[in-house]
Order: sequence, then structure tokens, then C-alpha cells
Amino acid sequence: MGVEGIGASVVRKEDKRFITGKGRYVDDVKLVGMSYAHFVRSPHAHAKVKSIDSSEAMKMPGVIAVLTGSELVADKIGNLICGWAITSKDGTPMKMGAWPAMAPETVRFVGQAVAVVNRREQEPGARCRGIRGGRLRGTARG
Amino acid sequence: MQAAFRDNHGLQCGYCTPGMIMSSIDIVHRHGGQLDEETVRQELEGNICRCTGYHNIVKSVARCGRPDEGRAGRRIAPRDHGRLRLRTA
Repeated sequence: MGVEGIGASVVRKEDKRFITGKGRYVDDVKLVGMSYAHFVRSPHAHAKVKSIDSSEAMKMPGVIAVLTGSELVADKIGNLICGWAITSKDGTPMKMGAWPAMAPETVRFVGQAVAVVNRREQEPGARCRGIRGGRLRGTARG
Repeated sequence: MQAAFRDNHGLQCGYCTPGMIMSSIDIVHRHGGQLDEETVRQELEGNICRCTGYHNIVKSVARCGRPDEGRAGRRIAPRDHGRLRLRTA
């Protein structure tokens, strides 16, 4: 390998801040009036979302809103965009199923988002898990 | 250790780096010059790197644990235990 020019090992410019603990990530960013999104995710691989009761979550301090997948659909937010849609040989666009950011009716993998809690403060994980376990009624049905 | 990470491409996005470096310094202090790759891998278990840059992280620590190899290695020799000063690159 060369000592300089093509093939030479180059020390990365960004390494200094990272190895000295000065990296700045999205989680470090604090803006005026900022709120946090906590996603409620499915513990099931395949299940119907029968109902979501957000009343208790709404009572927690700092909670601005609890939004669900069906509200996404009702508000006509639309689906996640496929970044690289392809066409068939005859020119017809690829067939895509509806894929909203949060599942309105059916979850199809563990960890799929079904609701989002928007709140003023970022809360420790334990309390967020309380929201997930206690208030979301999703029933697994094969 | 910081120099070892820099010199061995032991970081990519840098998110796990502070934890990796602090753990690694402790590993070197406890094991001294006897650090082999297997030991480093076992000791770093639980420190997650989502860039999956483990190979070069292990390389960084292993080289740092052997003071005779490279300039990075000389910076934290086992005898420095107790009076370690982190250098800002």
C-alpha cells in the first residue's frame, strides 16, 4: 500500500471528536419547544389491533397526543414512500400493498409501530414500557 | 487507547466509541500485555456497535495491549495504572 496518494491510509477528520467524547448526535440536540415521540410497538409477529385505549397515557404529565395507525389513515397522511419503485417489462408500475408508518389494523412483525405518544419530556424507558403493556389491547390471532 | 482506535480504524459513526474506549482501557489495565484477540472479544461482550465494526475495535485494543507494537501501544502501558491521563488525540 502506498505511503501517499492513491492507496495510502488516510486518518479520518471526524475521528478526533468521536474519540474524545465530543460527538453530537440527534439525541443530543435540544430545541426550543421540542417534544419527543415514543413509538408503541407490537409484541406480536402477526396480530389484529382490536382497540387502542390512550386515555391513561393522555393523563400522564407532558403528554400532548397519542396517535394511532387508524388515525393516520383517517387523516389521509398516506403510506410510506417506496424510494425505488420499479416497473414491469410492459411498463406497468410495480404492485405495492398499502404500507402506512403505523399499522392501522394488522401488525405483521414484532416491533411494528401501532401508535405514537408525543410528549414534552423524554421519559426513561420504564415508563414508556408501561404505556405499551397497559394500554394497547392487541390480540394475537394466528 | 484513543490513538489506537484512530490508527486502527476502530470507529465508524463513533456512537459506541466512548464506551468502547473506557472499557478497553480497563481491559488493558487488568490484562496488561497478555491481551489476545479472544480475550478482547470476550471482555467487550455487551458493548454493542451498530456499525458492526468489531473487527477493528478488537484490533485497536489488542494492539494497545501490547506496548511493543506501534506508537499507539506505548501510550497506555500496564504500569500506567492509577495515573492514566486521557489524551485528546
